[in-house]
Amino acid sequence: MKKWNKKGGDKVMTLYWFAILFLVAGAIVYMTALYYGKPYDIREIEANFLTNKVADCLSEGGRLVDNWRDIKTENFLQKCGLTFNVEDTEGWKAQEQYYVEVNFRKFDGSSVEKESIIIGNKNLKDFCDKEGVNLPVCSEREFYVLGPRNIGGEDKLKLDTDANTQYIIKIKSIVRKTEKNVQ
Amino acid sequence: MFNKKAQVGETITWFVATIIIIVILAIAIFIVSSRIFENDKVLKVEKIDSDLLVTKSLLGYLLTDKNYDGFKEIELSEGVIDFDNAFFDSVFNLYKKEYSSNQVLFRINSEYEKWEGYSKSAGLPNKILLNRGGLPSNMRATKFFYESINLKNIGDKKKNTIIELMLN
Repeated sequence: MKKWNKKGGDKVMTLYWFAILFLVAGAIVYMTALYYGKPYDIREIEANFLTNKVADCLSEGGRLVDNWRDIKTENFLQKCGLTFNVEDTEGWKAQEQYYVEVNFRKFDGSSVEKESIIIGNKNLKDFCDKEGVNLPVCSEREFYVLGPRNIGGEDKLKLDTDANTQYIIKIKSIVRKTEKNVQ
Repeated sequence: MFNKKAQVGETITWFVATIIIIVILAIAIFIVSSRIFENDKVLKVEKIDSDLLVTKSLLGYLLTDKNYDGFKEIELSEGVIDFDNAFFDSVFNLYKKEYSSNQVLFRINSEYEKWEGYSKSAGLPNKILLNRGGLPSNMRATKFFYESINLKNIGDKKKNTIIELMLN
């Protein structure tokens, strides 16, 4: 009788240990999945890349590019080699995921006879002054630059009349893509 | 009787142990699922290595001739740069939110060198301190970034000129 009881107790303990083992292993798997299952939010980096790309498109060597006045909203993406195409997922095609706004002003604060470049989903702008994880990420940065140096042609030292004009260019880049960066 | 008591005691022990294990796991799951680790998942832009817009502003600044009467490009190779403190401040005021820049150290060199190396090279100035007139002894590079730029578009002479900008 005593022997039988011992065997029964061992069986119960074995079952118990297996139950605990599965419980602990399951919890560890669940926690790992919970942590690593969340996507990395790279939108800030993407917005920064976009800003850099726009800045590179408009200026070179501390000066505006020669054809900067020809870069307009209509031809901006083409001239700067950008595309706002996104994957056809989460309804992204229906709602643009990017917004870029470029404003030009003179260093002394006066305005420039050049229209701002505005392209992308304008609705995203409204979220920039709000805080929250599930909102689009905004990047707004400025840089100082001089007018273009050359007026073209063979005489590279001949200067544009704009050559010593000082500009501040403000670039606002917004990236939405919330579904794939935040959960 | 004695045997039974022992069994009850053992059962209670395991029961309590199970509860403790479950509670520990529940706490761990709660911590992981909470937003404590949220920032780990947000990749930030590190401006430590380079900042393109600051670099562009610096280049623009260096090219600016404040006594403009016809074009005169600053001769970087001679190290003659007229630093206008107020003007410099106003240009880099654009980044005051991003960098706590009360010191800006600027170095021009003819080839890649590590920041620590201040040796003269090819007759170029080894270091020039902008804006505050003298390298303070207590200067600490707590926050710095640099960008290497090939300035060949300015002139062939300065093909490998490197600018390093350091904000402290």
